[in-house]
Amino acid sequence: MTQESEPTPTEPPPTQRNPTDDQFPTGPEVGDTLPDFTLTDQYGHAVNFRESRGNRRALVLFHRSARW
Amino acid sequence: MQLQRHLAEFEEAGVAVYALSYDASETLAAFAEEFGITYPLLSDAGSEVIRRYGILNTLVRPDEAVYGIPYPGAYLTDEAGAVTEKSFYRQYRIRPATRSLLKDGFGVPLTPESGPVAESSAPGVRVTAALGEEALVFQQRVPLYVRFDLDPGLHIYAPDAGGGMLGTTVEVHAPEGIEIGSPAFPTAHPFRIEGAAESLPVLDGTVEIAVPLISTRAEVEPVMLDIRLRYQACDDRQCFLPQEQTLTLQVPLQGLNRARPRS
Repeated sequence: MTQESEPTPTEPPPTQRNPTDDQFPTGPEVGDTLPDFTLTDQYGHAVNFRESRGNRRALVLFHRSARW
Repeated sequence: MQLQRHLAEFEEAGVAVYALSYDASETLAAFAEEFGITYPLLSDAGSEVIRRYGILNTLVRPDEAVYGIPYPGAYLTDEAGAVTEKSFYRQYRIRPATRSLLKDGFGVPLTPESGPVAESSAPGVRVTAALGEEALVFQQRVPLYVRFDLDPGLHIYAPDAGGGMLGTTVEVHAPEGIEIGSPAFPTAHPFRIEGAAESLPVLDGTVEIAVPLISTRAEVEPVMLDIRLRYQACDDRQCFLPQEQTLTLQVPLQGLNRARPRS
């Protein structure tokens, strides 16, 4: 008789990924010009922040990942 | 996804939306297709922009699979591209909810149609409680707005008004797993009742109090919120009776959307 083993976890092991206090970097400060960037979007097009924004205001979100 | 649902409102308000992550553009393409996302999901594979912004999560070791993720957060800019506001949370999953961003970040009023609403009234005063979003999304900060509409000439008192007057209080009671933050009151202004020795801090007109709520409940059945109010409305000569009211609001819960790896 073999004892069935536990299924292998597919999630990465939990590591400390959250800051434990508020002393973590949050990038450009209020009043700073948000640094420009050119990146590829989901349609495969290059998007330049400054050009595409034009004279509009912007909401720029940084996510961890769309996968998890 | 929440942001997508409100994209038209952002566009109408003249706000361009961008979302960056370290995912490959193929991953983002799959995610966008599955959830119908049309605003730019930008691939910062290699985390160049994340590093340049100085928000690389350095608590993750370089040998870990998820190395390259940022500390998640949001920036709002004005027409010239300068940061007007930013929000980063230590607990990475707690994100400001979309509609509240529009309202609090860009000063765009919420259209009152969406989300559950409860109402009550007393002489000269109508009170409504409305969730800032359609639902409480798992581990997302969603404000509950409690609004007092006061007849002209009437006021209510700031929470710590003193002077023997009943300070306004808003207390939210919810089942376990719903975290409730401190109510944020608008700034009061001083007002002196005829014959009184000192002036007291009062609120008048439309008084909106925001109470942050965060759901950590795994279940998605709706929950009931009890919103207990105490206030007393007065004009410059007299006061109405002190009021104690409880509004009951049923609030839908919503889990997190996750992209599934492509099969």
